[in-house]
Parts: sequence; C-alpha cells; structure tokens
Amino acid sequence: MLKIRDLKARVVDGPEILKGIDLDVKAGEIHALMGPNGSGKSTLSRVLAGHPDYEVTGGTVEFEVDREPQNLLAMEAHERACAGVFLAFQYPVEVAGVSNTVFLRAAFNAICKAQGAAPIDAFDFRELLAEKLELIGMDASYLERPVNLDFSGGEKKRNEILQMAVLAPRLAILDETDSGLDVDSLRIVSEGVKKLSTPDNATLMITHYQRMLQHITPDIVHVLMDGRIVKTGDHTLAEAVETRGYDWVREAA
Amino acid sequence: MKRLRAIPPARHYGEQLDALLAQNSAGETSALQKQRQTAYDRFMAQGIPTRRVEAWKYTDVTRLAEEVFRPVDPAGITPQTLADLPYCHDGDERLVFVEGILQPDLTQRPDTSPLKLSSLSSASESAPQEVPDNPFVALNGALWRDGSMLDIPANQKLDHRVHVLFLHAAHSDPSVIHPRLHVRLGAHAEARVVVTYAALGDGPCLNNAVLDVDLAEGAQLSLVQAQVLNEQSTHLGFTRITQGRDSHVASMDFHAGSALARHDLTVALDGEGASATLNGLYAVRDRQHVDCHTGIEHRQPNCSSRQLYKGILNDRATAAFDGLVRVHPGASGSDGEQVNRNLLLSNDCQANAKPRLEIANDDVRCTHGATVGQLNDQELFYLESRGIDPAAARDMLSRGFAEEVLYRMDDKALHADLHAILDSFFEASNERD
Repeated sequence: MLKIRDLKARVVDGPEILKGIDLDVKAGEIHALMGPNGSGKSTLSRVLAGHPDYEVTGGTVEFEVDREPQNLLAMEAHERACAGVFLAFQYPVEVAGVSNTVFLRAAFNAICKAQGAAPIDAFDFRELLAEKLELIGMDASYLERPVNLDFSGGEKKRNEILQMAVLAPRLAILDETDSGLDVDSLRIVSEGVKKLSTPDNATLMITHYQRMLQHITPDIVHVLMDGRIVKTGDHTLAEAVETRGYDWVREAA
Repeated sequence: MKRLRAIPPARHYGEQLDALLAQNSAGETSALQKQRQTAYDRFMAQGIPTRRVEAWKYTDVTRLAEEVFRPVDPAGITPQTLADLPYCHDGDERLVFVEGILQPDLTQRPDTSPLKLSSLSSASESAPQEVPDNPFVALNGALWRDGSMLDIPANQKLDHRVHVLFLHAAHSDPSVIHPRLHVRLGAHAEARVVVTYAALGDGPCLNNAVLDVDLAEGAQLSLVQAQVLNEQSTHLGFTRITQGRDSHVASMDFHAGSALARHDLTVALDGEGASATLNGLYAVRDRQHVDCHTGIEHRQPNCSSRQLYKGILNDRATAAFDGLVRVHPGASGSDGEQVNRNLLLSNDCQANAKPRLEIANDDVRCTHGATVGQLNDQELFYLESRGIDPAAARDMLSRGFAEEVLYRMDDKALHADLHAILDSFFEASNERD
C-alpha cells in the first residue's frame, strides 16, 4: 500500500532530518515506528501528510489508490487525504468558530466527492457520528464545540481518533497519539484504533514509548534513529527497546 | 487644502435646510425649527473634517463638502418588497422608514405591544442634551425629515423583536437619508431592537444616522445595528447609549455593504453596576472602507464593559478601529475589556487598530488588545490534511473568524441573517479568486 524508498527531507531551508527512509506497509498491517527524540519520527509523518513546512530533497513515496501506485509526493495535502491518508496530529490544532460537526462533515463530503460518492446530508451524518462517538467513548457535546478549542490534551487526542473513525482512511498515521493521555483515555483510544483496523487498511503508529503498544500489538516494529530506520522486527523489538533502551539499538546497528 | 482641518460645506446643504423649513410638512413648532437652524449653524461652523483631525485620520470624508446628495420622495417599496428581504421576520414589530420618512402602510405593530411610538417632530425632547463634537450629528439635527421615539415602559418585557428599517429605495440619483431614532427603556424593561440600514438599489446614497438609547435602572436591551447599504453608498452613524444603574446592553454592530462607513458608538455607564457588551463585525472588500470608533465612559463604580470587534478585509479594503475606555475618578471596581481583531485575506488590504485606555482610578481591571493578521497556516494545513481543499479551508476559517463574534448573539434568527449576509460577501470575494 505504501512504499517509501530512500526518502530524504528537511524543514524548508533547514538541515536534513530524514536521511534515506525505506519502508513498506501492506494492507491489514499495523506498524510501529519508534525512536528517540529528534530522530525524525514526526518529520516523517508530516512529510507523508504533505505539511508545507517541509521539503522532500530525495527519494520516492508510492501510495496505492485502487491498486494503482500513485506518486504521493506529487499530491497536495488535501489530495492525499482524499486518497486515504490520515495523520492524527501530535498537537491537534484549535480552530475557533468552526464546530466539530461542520468541520467533520466538510471533510467527509470532500473525501466522498473525491472518491465519486454522493455527499451525506446533515441528518444521516449525525447518525454516523453517533455511532463513531460511541466507539471512542466521547459524548455528543463535543460535536457542537469549536474544533479542539479548550479541549484537554486527552480530549484532543480522542477527537483525532473520532476524525479517523469518521473519515475511514486507508493509511492512518498516528503521531504520538499516546502522549498526554491518562491511563483510561489511552485504553479507550487504543481500543478505538484496534477496532478501526481492518484487512483493507493499515496503521502506522509513531511513538517514543511503548505505552500504546501494550494495548495494540503491532505486526512490525521499526526503530528510527538519526533519520534512518536502523532496525526492523516483530513486536518483541518494542519490548526490547523498552527494557534495553535506544542505545542498545544503536550499538546493535 | 491639505493643511486645513476642516472644509466649508457647499451651499446645497443650506438650500436643503431652507426647503425643509419652508415646507414644514410635519407642522413643526418654531422651537424645533429653531433647533434645526442651530444645528445647521453648528455644522457650518465645524465644517467637513479633513484627515488632519485625529478622529478622522483614517477616514476621508472631504468629498462630502462638495458632493450633492438630495432627499428623495418615498416610493417603490411595497409590503412584498419587505417580505422578500431575507432579514424581515414574521412576528416582528416593524417600523419602516423609506427615504427617511415613516411609512404607516408598511409598518406592522402587534395590537398588544406595550411599545409606545411617537414622532420626534412632535416630541419636545428630541434634541440631544449633550452635543458631541461631530459635524455630521449636527447635520442630522438640521436635515432629518422624520424620526421616532420608541418607549418601552417600565417593567415591560417585549417578547417580540422590534425591527426598524431605514431603506433607500432603488433610484439612480444620489440620495440622502438622515435617520433619527430614540429608544428609551423604562426601569427594568426588556427589549430586543434591530436597526437595519439598507439600500435596495445600487445608486449612490448617503446615510447619516443618529441613534439615541436610554436605559433606566435595571433595563436590558439587545441592540443590533446592521448596515447593509450598497457599494456606492456612504454610511455615517452615531450611536449614543446612556445607561442607568444595573442596566445592561448587548450591542451588535454589523457593517457589510457601504463603500465607506464610519460609526461612532458611545456608551455612558452612568449608573452603578451597569454593564455593556459591545460586539462588532465588519466585512470589507474591493476598495471599501470602514472605521468604527467606540467610547465607553465608566462614570460610576462597579460597571463593566466588554468589547469584541472583528474585521474581515479583502482586496484593497481598509479598516480602522479606535476604541476608548475611560474610567472616571470614583469609578472603582470598573471592569473593562476591549479586543479588536482583523483578518486580512489579501496582501493589499490594511487595518489600523487603536485601542485606548484612560484610567483615573486604582481599583479597576481593564485590558485591551488588538491583532491584525492573516489566516493561520497551521489551521489551514489541519483542515487540508482532512481532505478540505485550500479554497474551502480558507473559506471555513474566515467564516469561523466571524462566528467567533456572531455566536455571542442569543437571537438565532438574527445570527443566521448576518451569516447569510456574510455568505454573499464571501461569494463575491471567491468569484474573483
């Protein structure tokens, strides 16, 4: 589904952060990407989502749309979302004056339109929302509030997963979704992510710690250091990193 | 010319006064006619201010010294015209002034309404007690043709909305209206009043409005002023609110339409515990210009004022906000907050903000702030990362910017009306993009 080859990127006019990433993600897989602070995890997630602050300086990213590989890097951010890429932000943005419902419905209909489906009316959308809210244990009062405005850290993260549930992406990239969550929220969010995982979609969890991985067992674990993936393994790699630290990986690599 | 602080007005203003005095169609008393003459003399003495006058620094009205706008006979508005206006609602008590003259056949009043309506032509107290240093208020005092006094008696709570419309009908000659309205709420009275200034055609017009509002002890007023004139028009507004003890006013000052708008809104918090919430929203594009001045006088202890004025600018439009919060000696416990935020949608528009505090007291809490900026890149990316295209994302954030002030209106129907007016602003903006 996703094929990254020798991807290099930097903050516009800044030093190179990604120094040659190779990564393959297939439908139905859950990947975990771990790494110390500053290793380039978040940069990779933003580059994949098309954040304008970053520029790609080399390499390729192919993303399969209807079994056809597409050049993801040539697409605008909104086109990537319409093709099925979703980024759950590490720091979700507050949007004053725009209600969660209005925002979600606009996004949902934009994606429907891009994929050739009819737009959903407000009434049907409400029903869809009700079902998704239950999945991640949010109550309906969130819907009329402005997007993320004055939400707690945990509420913001849940709101990201609510959006993911509604937009049903083919590739979900979760950027440090476990940070800033209390134990209960972490469990609820993890359960939600697990339920949303199907044989047709894929999940890339970016994390510094193993917290979320105690709830969700990844199929494949990668360790990113200094802009490169230095080690790939199964879920036991995450446990090894947790007990032995990143230095162990560095030495082993 | 540039060095002058004022320009003498042309003769046609005097001719219009002479015609009014000679006609005297309302059968005005000589006292009232004398007031007109006095106001006219004051207007002539002050002249048309140039931008060298600090209060007019951002707004150039000097062309009004020469340009001729004449009053037009009321015609061309039918009940159907009103029914077709999206912001006219069934169930409102409705007063309709066409070309500045109240039209009884268009007016709609519930039989049971406690509101007392009288003509300012017959009222003795039509003259403002305190004359502001503003030549256009003087001009209004000289040339107004008709006006109403709205009295809501003490302890009466109006369940319905009162909608006062000042309409310029469709015609091509440059026309003028000097709207004049006085709203008085007795002790503990409650009312919702909407004043709309609208042009139904696209011909040039001058709208020079004066609105006086008096709130007695414990009165509560929700006041909306919506200026939806056309792109050929000039709007000059002067609103003077005087508040008694524990009274509350919630004002929404909305501008979307005229080529040039200048509104001075002053609030005198004259009774202890009075509070005012002043919200404002202006949307300007092309070469439109808007200039909002607010002046809040905290004269008694424990009064509060909350101001949030927001502006959306596009193309080569310009805007100015000048807000003064003045805490007088002895007004302890004053609580004043003033915020002005401007959103620039193009590189060629310009907003100037001048928040001012004058505090002659220790025990007060006053804050102010102003921002001028473009849409936030992180917010744009957040929306785009969800599949919303850049144009739609900009649109959504711009409307969200407006909604941050509009949502403060309790009246959901009016809230929807103002959004609908903004829709056409955004549509017109998007068409050229």
